[in-house]
Amino acid sequence: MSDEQPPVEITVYENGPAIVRGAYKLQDRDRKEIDPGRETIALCRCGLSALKPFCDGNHALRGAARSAF
Amino acid sequence: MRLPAPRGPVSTALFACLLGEPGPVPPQLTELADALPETTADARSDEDVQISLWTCYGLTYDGFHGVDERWEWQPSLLAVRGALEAVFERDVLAEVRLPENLTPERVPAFLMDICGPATPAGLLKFMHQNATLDQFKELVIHRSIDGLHEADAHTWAIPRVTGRAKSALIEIQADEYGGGMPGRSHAELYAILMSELDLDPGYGAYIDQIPAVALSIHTLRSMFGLHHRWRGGILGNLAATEIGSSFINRRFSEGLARVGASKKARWFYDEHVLADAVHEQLAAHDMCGTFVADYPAEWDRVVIGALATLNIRGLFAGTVVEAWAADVTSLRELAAV
Repeated sequence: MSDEQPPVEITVYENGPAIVRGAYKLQDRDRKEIDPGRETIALCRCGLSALKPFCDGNHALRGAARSAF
Repeated sequence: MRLPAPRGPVSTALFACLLGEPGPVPPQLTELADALPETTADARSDEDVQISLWTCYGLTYDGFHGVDERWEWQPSLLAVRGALEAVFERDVLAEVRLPENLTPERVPAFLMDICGPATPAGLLKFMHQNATLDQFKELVIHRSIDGLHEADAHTWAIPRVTGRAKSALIEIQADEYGGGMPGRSHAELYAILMSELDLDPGYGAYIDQIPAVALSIHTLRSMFGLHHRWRGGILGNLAATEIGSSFINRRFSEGLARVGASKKARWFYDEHVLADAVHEQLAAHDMCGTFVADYPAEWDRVVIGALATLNIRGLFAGTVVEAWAADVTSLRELAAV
């Protein structure tokens, strides 16, 4: 078996987050590691998440859907 | 688990039959099953139909104390189950309106649109801002039939799909089962939620209090999951469950915190926030989108599966909200013993 770690893979979803898999390292501006507690993560792209940098599904609040809640 | 209490003539005859030796069912049960299309107004909210169907499926999940396991594949009983499913499917489809001009390529975007944060009957907003701890407990009891078996009905779909849709389904399901880590499956987190709220986490502990509209959330998944011709439907059901789930679960967790529930109790909901932000994309695009591209003749099944799921969720939410507005319990009252 190879010791090589899987390459980082980032998938961008239309009107949704970027999903990140593989041997990524997530850190804040001070290079302090952020532990997501899971392997595959969704990163917010719309700015509406209350749990940034992670996506929390709040992109659904854009536009007409905002009034539904 | 014990057999539930019967709720009408079909379940009375069915449960009496299940306590005997597997074999042909009594003619009376067959006659009742054959008459279901005439005797059932809406199978989604029919107590007798739903408890009977839930019990038939229960043979395939957990089984029941005192019921011979060979009943599961007894042809005469499968015929009764088929009659229950036929009337359920009839009434599920009667409420589904397929959108005009929808093409397979647009299915993922359509799913994301319809499964957004619109909240049936305002139940989510109520739970977030107004519900009492007792009302949370009621809701957790309603959903226990499904929550304590979370993900299982969707697992039936795994051997029925291929390629990238299967990979996406597996990625979602692996998370649902806690990545194989003991104690981390979502069903186990649901049991923790129940224990933390001083509820009995044993499967079926509250079955006699759970109304048809709550059972139908689970029987719909089971029906889709157990029939190959509904493989698109079970994928649509999973998509409707995952899309918008982060949004919904975060508000449930905040509502529970508002009434003083522990962090441990809220774990089930908190776990879904980050997990389902990934799952909703996988479900809509990689799973359903790829499935309809690979099997274009089945795109409508995926959409029907999602719409039927949302309809039943709305029916359930409306029933609960109506009961609470009238200041009564949304659970079934236990018959005096």
